[in-house]
Amino acid sequence: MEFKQIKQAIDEICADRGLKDYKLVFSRGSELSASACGREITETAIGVSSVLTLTAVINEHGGSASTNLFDRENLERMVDMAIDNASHLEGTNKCRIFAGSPSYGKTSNPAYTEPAMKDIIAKTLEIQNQMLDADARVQSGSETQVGCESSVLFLANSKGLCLENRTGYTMYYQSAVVKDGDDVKLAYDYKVQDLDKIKLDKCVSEAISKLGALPTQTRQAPAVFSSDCMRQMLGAFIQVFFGRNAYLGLSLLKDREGQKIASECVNLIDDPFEPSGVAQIQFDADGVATYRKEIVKAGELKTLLYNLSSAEECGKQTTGNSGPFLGSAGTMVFSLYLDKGDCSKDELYARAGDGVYIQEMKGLHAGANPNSGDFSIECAGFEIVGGKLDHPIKSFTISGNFYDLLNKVKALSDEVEFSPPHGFSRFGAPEVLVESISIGA
Amino acid sequence: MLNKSLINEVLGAALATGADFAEVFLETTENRGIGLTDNSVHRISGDVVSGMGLRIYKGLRAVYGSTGDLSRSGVLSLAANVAGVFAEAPTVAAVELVERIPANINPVKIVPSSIPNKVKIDLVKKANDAARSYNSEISQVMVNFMDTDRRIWIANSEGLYTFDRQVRTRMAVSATATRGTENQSGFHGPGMQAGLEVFTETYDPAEIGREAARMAMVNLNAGYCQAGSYPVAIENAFGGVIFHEATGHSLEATQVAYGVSEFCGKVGQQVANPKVTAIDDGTIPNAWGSINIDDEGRPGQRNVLIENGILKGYMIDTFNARRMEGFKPTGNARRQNFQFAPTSRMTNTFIAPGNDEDEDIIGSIEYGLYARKMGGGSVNPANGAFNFSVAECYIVRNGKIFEAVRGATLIGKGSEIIKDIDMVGKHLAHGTGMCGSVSGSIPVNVGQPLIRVAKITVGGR
Repeated sequence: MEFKQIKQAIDEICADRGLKDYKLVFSRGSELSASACGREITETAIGVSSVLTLTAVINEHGGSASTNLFDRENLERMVDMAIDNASHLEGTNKCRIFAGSPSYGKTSNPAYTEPAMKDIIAKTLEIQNQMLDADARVQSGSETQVGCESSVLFLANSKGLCLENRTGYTMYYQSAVVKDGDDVKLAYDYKVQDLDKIKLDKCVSEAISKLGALPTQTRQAPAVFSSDCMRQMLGAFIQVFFGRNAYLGLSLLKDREGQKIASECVNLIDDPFEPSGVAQIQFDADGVATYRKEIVKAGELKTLLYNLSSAEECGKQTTGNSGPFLGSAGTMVFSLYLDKGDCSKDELYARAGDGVYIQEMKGLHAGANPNSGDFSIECAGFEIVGGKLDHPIKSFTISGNFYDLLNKVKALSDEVEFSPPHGFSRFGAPEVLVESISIGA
Repeated sequence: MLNKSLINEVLGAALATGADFAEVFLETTENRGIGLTDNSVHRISGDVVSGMGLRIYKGLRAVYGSTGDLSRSGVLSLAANVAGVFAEAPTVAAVELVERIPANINPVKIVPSSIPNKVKIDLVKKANDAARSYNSEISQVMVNFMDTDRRIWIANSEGLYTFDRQVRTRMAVSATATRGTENQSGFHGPGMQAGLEVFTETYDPAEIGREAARMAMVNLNAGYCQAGSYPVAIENAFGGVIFHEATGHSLEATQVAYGVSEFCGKVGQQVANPKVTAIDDGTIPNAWGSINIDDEGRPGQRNVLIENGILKGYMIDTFNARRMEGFKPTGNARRQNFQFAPTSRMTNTFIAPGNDEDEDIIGSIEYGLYARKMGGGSVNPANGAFNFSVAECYIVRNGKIFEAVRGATLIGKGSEIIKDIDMVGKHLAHGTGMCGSVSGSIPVNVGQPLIRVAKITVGGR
């Protein structure tokens, strides 16, 4: 069923129920992918999905309900569920139906045509063979995957707003397992790339470089975070920048806007139109126009992130950061990145002197506590000796506090790399030199 | 859902291009959630999702498709697309479907989706009020109540046609304690495969709230854990996450079938300390991770993975069993929903009770840690490198538990750590968790009695 028909049905049902204020979000997507191991395609997948979320506003509170069943009976059930959900809500956070921004930015998402499954399969096998041929130590369990996804999103509400966004892109995942005696190491690459440009990335060479790791020592030392690790760190702690979390005391940045919270070289930006993004979006889940904003500029907290509800609660203006689009909306980021510095990577290592290079981090979902800012995480990487990357080191831990870390940033490399998008969100960072960190081994 | 004749038609269409097996998975799931923060119910949500997953095998190759469009044209179109990946003549025909009714080990007294929000909100507020009143330094409390009513139908080209209904209910409380500019937190979140009676008969919501608040206060008063290498006593219940992460994932066929596990080819060998017996048991009545049938329609099983330190077997799904000569599926195929192909996953996994007294375990540690509550973790099954965080931790000196410390993470290698579990207590308990992997996020229990790990790397400051 097309969105226009669904919306018409919902409008009729809401009128019948006397519901005046409501918002609809409809998403339809499709996915294709192929995976290979041991020079063979092991699995191909085809998926199509549609989801509709209705937010009903009763007494200024918004209750939500979702379904992927679009017949009249199920749509009526969804409307009744949303109304019932809304009628039990309490508290100071109000749900507002938004009539629309004066104008919306223009996305540059490339027009996307899904590749044919046979081409996806051929590319997956080509990369798989290249990976296994690259080095005798690469194991047959090494995996390659190529996939594509495309989606269309509609947001409409009872004030006549109707917005649409389309995205589509191809991605690859390459995971190399290498073995030398009993020593097994793994590295992966996961990136957005057009099908014809996909080639074997650096996972094989990176996995091999990890072989022969030596133990490191428990100590305090300077550390350089890889872009990937710093992106993960931002993802784990991003909610400390959410205005409602600060309002609730779940972030230590309450009332800190306008104050220094990080080193002067730290600039944190959220830009829904960041040029390299393939999932740009011109509106948030409230229907408010999105825009580029500096969250931290030269170490000073310029703004927290707000949606319409949290902005009203906190006496601020929305920053166009309402999300996610489906389900109950809270706060989300788009292309959130730590801006680049002016050092080459080699200069960062030179400035570190003797320390560690953190190439890989695991367990942030459990080892990072946004409430306190504390983290204690398993890592792998390299020893930095005499200002140069030296030998690989065995699993170690780093421990510290995110708020302290922001103030210990000494320098950043001159190139920002981004993770692939998850929905409309992604994170970016350069490599980052931190003055010192607790290392456990 | 689809009638039997249309399911047969879908299976036939899926087999039309040379596949040797086809399976239809149909699902209708209703999820409901209530969120309370700042003393107010700020979120109530509900969703109903329904769809079909269709899988075919041709030898060692699988094709999976999913759709939410359950119209005749929608499901037959998916079957054509899935079959279109192959291009050969049919080799097998679907066998006539014969209905099988599984035994129900997870009875439900009060179906939560039929209960008004008001009743659940009252339970949520009990937990909130108890956490708030635990201590004046408790500054914020978040309560999440969730219930799921999942109905699945599975049919395959070998004639299987079966159905299950899985109802799960969980309440999770996060408490924040604040002093000056410092926040610390505590969490408690039990759940069962049962109805609302979980929180009217089995668990007292107020106790859940108090437990989260107690942990937050312990952490607020704790110093930082020092990094190093120590013996660690890990308490029962959610402490079992050590086995789940350090070893469990590496025993899933998802890894083993592709040779990407440190336990490949080691069945019959001594892989753990003789004190360690580890079991994955999907048949514990009403346990959070239990299953009447798995997501391929096989009855849940009790699988002994390690017995007295000797590796006895793996957790295996149908597709990966094809790559593992001499092994059969073990009733461990699971998936988040119809959008994911099922694969081998854990259910309720635990270290079985041993013979050591708890006081002897603590008493044996000259200097080390007592991990009373664990957080989550992760593992790289290829080389066994694992990590998990400690949510509530104490220093042990001269066999006695002293001050609390925070910020500890335990890391190591799975195949080494299970050899270092050298004491196992008598009091088994289970903890509730969600496990994320290739087939999505699924409910699992972890469990163990109090154990001692002779030496483990501890991250801290």
